[in-house]
Amino acid sequence: MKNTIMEYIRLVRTIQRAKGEGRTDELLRAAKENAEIQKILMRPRRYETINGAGEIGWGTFLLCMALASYSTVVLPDSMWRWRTGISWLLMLCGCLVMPFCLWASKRYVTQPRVGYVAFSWDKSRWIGMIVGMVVAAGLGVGLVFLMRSETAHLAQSQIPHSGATNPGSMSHTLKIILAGYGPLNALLYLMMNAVSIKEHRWKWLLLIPILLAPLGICYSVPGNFIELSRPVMLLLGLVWSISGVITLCSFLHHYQPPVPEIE
Amino acid sequence: MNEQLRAISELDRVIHEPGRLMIVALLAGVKECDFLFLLNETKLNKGNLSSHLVRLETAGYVEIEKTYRGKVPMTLLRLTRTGRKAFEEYRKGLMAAF
Repeated sequence: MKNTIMEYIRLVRTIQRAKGEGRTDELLRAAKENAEIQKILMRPRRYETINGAGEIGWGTFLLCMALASYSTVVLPDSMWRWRTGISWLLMLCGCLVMPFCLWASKRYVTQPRVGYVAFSWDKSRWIGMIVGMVVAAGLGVGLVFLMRSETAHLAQSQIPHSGATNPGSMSHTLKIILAGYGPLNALLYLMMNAVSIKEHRWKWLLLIPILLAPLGICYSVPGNFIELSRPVMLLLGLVWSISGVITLCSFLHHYQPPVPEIE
Repeated sequence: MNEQLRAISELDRVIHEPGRLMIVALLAGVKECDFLFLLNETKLNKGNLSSHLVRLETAGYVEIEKTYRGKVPMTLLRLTRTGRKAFEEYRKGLMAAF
């Protein structure tokens, strides 16, 4: 199936052009009807993000990753045996929370209230998923490559009297990458809420902290990539989670399960 | 211009009715859904929705399956291949008008 959002934009432009050309009402009505159909075709997509579970899932993932990283430095040295375990446990929770949130919210929150809907896995969806995975893997490998010197520097700084002069510094490239978390998350946020953002206009406001928080932290707080990625992930995770919780509350308020009929 | 107006008059009347058009458009965007989902999305009442679905089923455009999810009865609805083709034709006809 074609990209429904792009198709809708194209139809709206056609209507505007038809109005400009002074077309007859009958033809204009046909164009409007087509645009309306396109709108209806987009509506089921709302279902995936209607209750904010995706946002809660992604927010919790970021929070878990931030806390896992914090646990390695915050926990006292006497707990060193537990530190790695706790960190791994938090990372595992982070990885499992997204699929669990999506499954549980669909099964226990969305389906009883707005009904069941399944989407077909057509070619474009598979291609999108594979491209997404390849891009994510590429970014991950690229980041590891760029961070080689950073991690070596950090490892050196943890050895006492190793002569490390400035453990809390970061190259300009890494600063740009870390600040790039903001636009990347903003893009993901917009993609996730593309259809529902019209109903929840307050979500536009959340784009400000998503975009500015990583930028502000990178250029105002001293520290290396790993040190600064902790507050960045924590802040982004909080924003995502808050957005998800508000969406969930709004969903629960607006959609009540149907009352069973008395026979 | 006459060509365009003829294209509008040749539209499939089963789909052209606003209620049914909404049902078919919703079903075209998904693999399958249940009665409650359509009820919520179309804002039609149960009687109207049922009668439209029966009309679409008679035309061979919609497949209705009565099933259970656990102990709860569920009516699954999906567009048949004929239904999808008819909807595509309908949209093409509509596009031809402008």
